[in-house]
Amino acid sequence: MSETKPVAWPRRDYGVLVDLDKCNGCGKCVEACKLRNGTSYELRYKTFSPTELTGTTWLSVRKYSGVSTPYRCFHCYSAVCALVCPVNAHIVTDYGAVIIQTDKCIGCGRCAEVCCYGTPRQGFDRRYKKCDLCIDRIAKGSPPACVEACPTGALKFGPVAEIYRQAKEEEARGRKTYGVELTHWVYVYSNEEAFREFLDDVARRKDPEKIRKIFSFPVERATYPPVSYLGIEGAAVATALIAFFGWRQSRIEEKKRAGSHE
Amino acid sequence: MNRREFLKIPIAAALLGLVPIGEAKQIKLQPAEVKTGRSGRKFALLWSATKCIFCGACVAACNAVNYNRDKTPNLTWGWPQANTRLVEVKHGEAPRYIFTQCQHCEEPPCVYNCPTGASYIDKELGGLVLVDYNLCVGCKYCISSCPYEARWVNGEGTPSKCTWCVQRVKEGKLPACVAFCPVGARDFGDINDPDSSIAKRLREAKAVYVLMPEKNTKPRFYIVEE
Repeated sequence: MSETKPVAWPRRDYGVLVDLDKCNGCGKCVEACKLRNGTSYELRYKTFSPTELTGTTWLSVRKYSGVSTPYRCFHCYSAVCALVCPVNAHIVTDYGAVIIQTDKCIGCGRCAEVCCYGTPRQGFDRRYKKCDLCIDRIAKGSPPACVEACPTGALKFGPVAEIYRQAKEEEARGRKTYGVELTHWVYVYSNEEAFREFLDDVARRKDPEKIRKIFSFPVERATYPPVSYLGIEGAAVATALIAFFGWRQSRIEEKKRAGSHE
Repeated sequence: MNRREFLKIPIAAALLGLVPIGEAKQIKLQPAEVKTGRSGRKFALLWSATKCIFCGACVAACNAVNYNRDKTPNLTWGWPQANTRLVEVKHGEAPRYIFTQCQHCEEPPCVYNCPTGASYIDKELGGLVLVDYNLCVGCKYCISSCPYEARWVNGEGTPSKCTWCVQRVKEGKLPACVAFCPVGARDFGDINDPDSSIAKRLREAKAVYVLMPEKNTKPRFYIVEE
């Protein structure tokens, strides 16, 4: 089947190129992201930390071995979250962005469990939230808020083919890349150790038993709820015992009656 | 037989019935030797047990590339429509999980058992085991003959199997499960070429395993510990 079935990839993909050597960790992108999402009031909170992703902070800047690393949803091609979502709240859009339709989300947490980079976070309303690549801004023709706010030019926005071409050019000059033809959020870096630290931190090993259960859910949804074998067998044994004792009681009574007649 | 002994029979039967009937088939990991440096192309796939983070990106990528993000379930495996899955294997003391898929055996039982010749070995493409759906009649002999249970079918229809994304390999790309792995736990390539990345990784690995070599199918799916 796979030989005959052509598959249409999203054609109007957009991506962002992150140059880690240019990023100075000023945090302007976090501010712009929160301003666009209407959660900028949090910036005044004492508990607010720009290094942690939460239900209201969709972009964070972390430091690994002195290298500031912007971290948000990678919008990867595989989109495991979209496959395991039981209510189709998680979808892959035409722009290549993987988004959560918050009104449909039931807060089951499967997306956060399987996500390779651990980005979906639960908000106070129990629904999961993450970066949506500012698809409303892309539809209007402007770049995402974080890219527009970047003062150093570390973030670059464009059609994904153009982004991959630029990343490959940088690779030819001797720098390393992550995410070419894998995600819509491509890193270009020269400090390999710091990036490996970052990747080890965000791409954590998961419990295979849990993952197997999550991936088995479509069948549970498609078929009837599993019948409890213990219940059926227990009921059968109980019925047999009750019938046996009832029959025995009736036999005793019959014999008694027969005895009294004689 | 007195009454007490007679009553024990149904109770014993009930207790026996509680034992799960379809106990999972335990596959063992077996160490393997990799023969490289021969003439001709021989594709192989590698899965690293130490690098994999069990996120399931390979399953989602297979589903997206080969089945167009179809979210209806694959009823044979109880799994999404994808060709790679998690199985429990016995290795040492504790059972553990591995991702496995079609092994593209050099001696494939599915090809030998196919009555119409629909399953075939593509010699030009490094010996991939493929299916010609113009000849397939849906008899499902291949499903029952495969010791790895690598093929699946939804109800009546033609069986589906992993092709190592032959449409991508023909274009010179990697299979979807390899290309979209976020941590590089998988590798694909020609193991007869000593300079390919998969041959290097197989040479430098601490341990290399294959599944069920006792079936003499000569599988080409290698599980490594790095």
